[in-house]
Amino acid sequence: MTYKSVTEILEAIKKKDISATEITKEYLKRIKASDDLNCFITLTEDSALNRAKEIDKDISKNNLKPLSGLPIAQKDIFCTKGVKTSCGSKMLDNFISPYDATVVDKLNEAGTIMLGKTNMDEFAMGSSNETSFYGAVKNPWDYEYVPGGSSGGSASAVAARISPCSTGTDTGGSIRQPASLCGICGLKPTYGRVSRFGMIAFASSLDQAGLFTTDALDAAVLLKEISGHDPKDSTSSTVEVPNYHDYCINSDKKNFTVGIPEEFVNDLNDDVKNSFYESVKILENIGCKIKTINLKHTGLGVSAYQVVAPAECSSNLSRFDGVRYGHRSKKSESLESLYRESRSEGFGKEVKRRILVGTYALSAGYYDAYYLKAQKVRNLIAQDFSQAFEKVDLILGPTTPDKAFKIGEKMNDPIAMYLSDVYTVSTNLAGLPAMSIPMGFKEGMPLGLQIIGNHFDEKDILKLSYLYQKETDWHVQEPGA
Amino acid sequence: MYRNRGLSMWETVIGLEIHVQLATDSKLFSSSSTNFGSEQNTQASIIDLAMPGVLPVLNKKAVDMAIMFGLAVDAKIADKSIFARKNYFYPDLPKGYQISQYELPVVYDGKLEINVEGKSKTVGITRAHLEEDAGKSIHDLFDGESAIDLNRAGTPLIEIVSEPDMRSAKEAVTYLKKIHSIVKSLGISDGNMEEGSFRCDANISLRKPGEDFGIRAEIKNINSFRFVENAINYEIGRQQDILESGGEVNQETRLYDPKKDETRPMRSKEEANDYRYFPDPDLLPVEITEKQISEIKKSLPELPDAKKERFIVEYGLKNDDAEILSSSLDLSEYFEKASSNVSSKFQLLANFILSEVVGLSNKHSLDISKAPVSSEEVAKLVTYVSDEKISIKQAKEVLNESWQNKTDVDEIIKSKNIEQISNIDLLSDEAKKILEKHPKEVQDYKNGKDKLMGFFVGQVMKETQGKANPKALNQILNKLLKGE
Amino acid sequence: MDTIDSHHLGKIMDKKIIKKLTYLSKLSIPESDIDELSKNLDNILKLIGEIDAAPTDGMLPMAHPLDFTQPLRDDVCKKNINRDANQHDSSKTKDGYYTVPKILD
Repeated sequence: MTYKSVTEILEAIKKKDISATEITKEYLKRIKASDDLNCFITLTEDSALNRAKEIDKDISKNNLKPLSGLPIAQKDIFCTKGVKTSCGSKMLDNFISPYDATVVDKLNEAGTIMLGKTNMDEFAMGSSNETSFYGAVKNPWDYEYVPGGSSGGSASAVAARISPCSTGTDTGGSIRQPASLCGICGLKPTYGRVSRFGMIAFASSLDQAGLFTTDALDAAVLLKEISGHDPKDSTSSTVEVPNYHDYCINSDKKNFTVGIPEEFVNDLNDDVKNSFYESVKILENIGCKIKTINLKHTGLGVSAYQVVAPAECSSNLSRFDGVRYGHRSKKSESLESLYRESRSEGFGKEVKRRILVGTYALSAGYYDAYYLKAQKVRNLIAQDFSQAFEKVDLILGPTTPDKAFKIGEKMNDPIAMYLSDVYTVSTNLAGLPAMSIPMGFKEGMPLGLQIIGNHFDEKDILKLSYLYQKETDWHVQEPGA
Repeated sequence: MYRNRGLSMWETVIGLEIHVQLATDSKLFSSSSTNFGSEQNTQASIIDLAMPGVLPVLNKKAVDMAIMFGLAVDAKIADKSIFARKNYFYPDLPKGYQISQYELPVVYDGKLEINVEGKSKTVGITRAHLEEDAGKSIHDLFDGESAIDLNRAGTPLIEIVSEPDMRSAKEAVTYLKKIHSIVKSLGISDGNMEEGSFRCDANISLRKPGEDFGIRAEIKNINSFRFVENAINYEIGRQQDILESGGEVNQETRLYDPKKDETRPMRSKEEANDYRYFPDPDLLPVEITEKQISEIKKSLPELPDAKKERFIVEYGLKNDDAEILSSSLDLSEYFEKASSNVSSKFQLLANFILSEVVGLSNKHSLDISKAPVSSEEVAKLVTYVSDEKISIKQAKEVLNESWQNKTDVDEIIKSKNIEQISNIDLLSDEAKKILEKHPKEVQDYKNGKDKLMGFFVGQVMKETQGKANPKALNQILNKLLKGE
Repeated sequence: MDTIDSHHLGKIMDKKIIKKLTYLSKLSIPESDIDELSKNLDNILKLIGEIDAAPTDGMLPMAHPLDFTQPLRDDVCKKNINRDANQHDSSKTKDGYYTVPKILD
């Protein structure tokens, strides 16, 4: 079976070249054969096959939904009814969710078949998928390297072709960075484009659900199905959802004005720089106009992010107290010890660090200097972008400063880990949409190109990526091929 | 036992924080029911339980109710208002934070006029904000464990914070009762103190007049008007004792124990808690427009001050009586119900209710809404008095007896045969008899000793077992004494 | 504290502050880990301290990336609560109540 994309699969199912059951069985086989990648925390084999059977029945009656029969992997941060939802943490190792996240619900309604829940950095805190309670995920291009994080399992699974697509979440780069390190497409929509209901919260004003696919057109197809207003999420947007796939294929748009921020390219190493400027040439050939721009407060992004995100997460994680669900310590002689022991046993080191930093940033006497100040810096950064978007349609840069690093290389240096987010955090702070697509290789490991758009301009990001992928073949390269 | 011993050198400073449960059908941020008394945790949804991934969505009616309250206390309504997280750990607080309001509450800068013992005073209302209620923890159900019921978690509250403008327990209780009356009149709360839908925290401190505010103690969760008054008076006495013996009052939270009639420090909760307030990122700023406010204004029901004016105009009541009757919803309802059964003697009715019915209620520590004598029965008594069927004194006695024995007013009057004698001929006979019996006194009276009229009246009363109609009797005696 | 006092950067996260923070956030850190934690936290504070020099005079804090206002929900009660499903982890409940070690008031 050699389907290379979601659109190919959907076409084949529609033409009845393959059944939902057959394709589901195929991917389950691949997953089990790649167990050493450690992409999955939970494999939902039985329910996947049952569902595939139901969908085949529907297909035989010509009752087709937009994604009928499409297997998909869900990041274990999305609540799935009746299925373990761990968020990569010991704290939720025993948690069976009583409800479905809106994203899960929408994808189910559209006809997808969930293969399982993917591995991730604990509570989405990390950039390498090494903080998971369930062990590190491997990069399928080289098992000694990290796949990126926090959505490492979802990225690795799609890169390894053991799932045609998967969901992820992005708070500071957790979709785009693993997509870059794994050589696939990773899309983070505008804040509010996709409902956060049922998505376990890390930093509420930064989190956004998104997608991993092998090409841009697949992302376009899936984005339409997960987007839209959700009355259960007060922060979700009522802006209309366009037909992204239609726009990619049918619109004439190609003469995008693309801005390259000096701050994104000044400190690049040669390999990444060369790869990047080759991509720029390709975009020029497509018809784009290239401009140099400035996002002068880029350097403050990581610092501001490392105040806002921990502050919000320190509060969001307070509900994990061992009282109503989740891990409860056996050492509970008093209420105080129930709280302290359950939380200390349940959370890993990185999570505890962020909770402490966040608690500090919000505490009396420090709130103005840290949290409030960081929110003002956030405004500065957002202003940089809105000024830039007066001159350009899209913004371009490398997704990460370098290729993947080795497992264990940065675990003892949290700061180095945080700094690798430098090109991605600003977009979360400003709530903008962005996508990472493969742009080449360095020493056999993938590199990623990031395209950032203005609020709710996903269609232009997808269109440009689609045009780029017509002229290049980075996105069809597979590990081990 | 501490008691308020009269504060010659100390001035009491009291501020009240009132938590009012709003009478919405669903909770503040979830669609669960707000009904009281359901089986434990059957009204706690995934949102109320703070399951991973859930999000809050704001109840429109709760906002409208907060606006109604703001309008009723002459306050400003924020055009943009923010919800903030108050972070602390307690099992009845599932999220580990309470969604409340910190900077930018929905209502601020209000005021309320109260009338205490004939004097009028304005109490400032700093703010009233929306927040969610916590669940309930029950400590005596299981051995060695506390039981948590989250049915109440998420119920909408408004917290009403007064300026520290009150100077006595009486002022505090009057303010409290007026707020109670307002929220009930507006229909935004059932104001049921026993069920916990109207709770009061009192902040009390003492200072020498002219000096800065002293250190205050907070008495939490007092759930009856009577207890509020007692708790404050106890606390004033306690603080007075401490300060006069040279000590310092601890800034602490205390609980009122109604059985022992004292306050004691709360044990748990209060190691210095830093609540780390910050705007809740799951909620957006609440926008309130002038149009919304004016629509709500149009639909406001009658408020105590308007009621007072109406009582003065419609019933011809005196200002002070109208003030007292209108400031308590129960009292005003009792009065109006009675008044519909009384043809015109409204002032008489008001007097009777205010002195006799309220007097008995206080004596028996009852709220007037629980008085065993109904307003219809009281209306009957007042009508009989005004028809001169019985005297005021007799009416008081009948009321007392009806209150104690729960018997009908008509039955008592009949069985005790206390109908007033108003028959002119009968009275004239008795009067003549008395005057014939005391010729010396008659002569003294005619010579100027007017006080003897009382003696003659008294004698006739004695003869008639107190049933003579005093007004008629006076007229007859006057006629007889002048005429002869 | 209105600005981050740069003289203090380097050693803020001492045992006392960590103790207060762990009390507020209900965590317990073993003695043996405190030194490493303290170092890591100080490095993080140094990193985030860079915002102190940012030119934010006159800037408003940005709590949300988009300029929307709060949508309102109609006051309708939904009777869709399944207590058994919510309490499927029965190790934490008794007779429908959640139980914790006895709290002394």
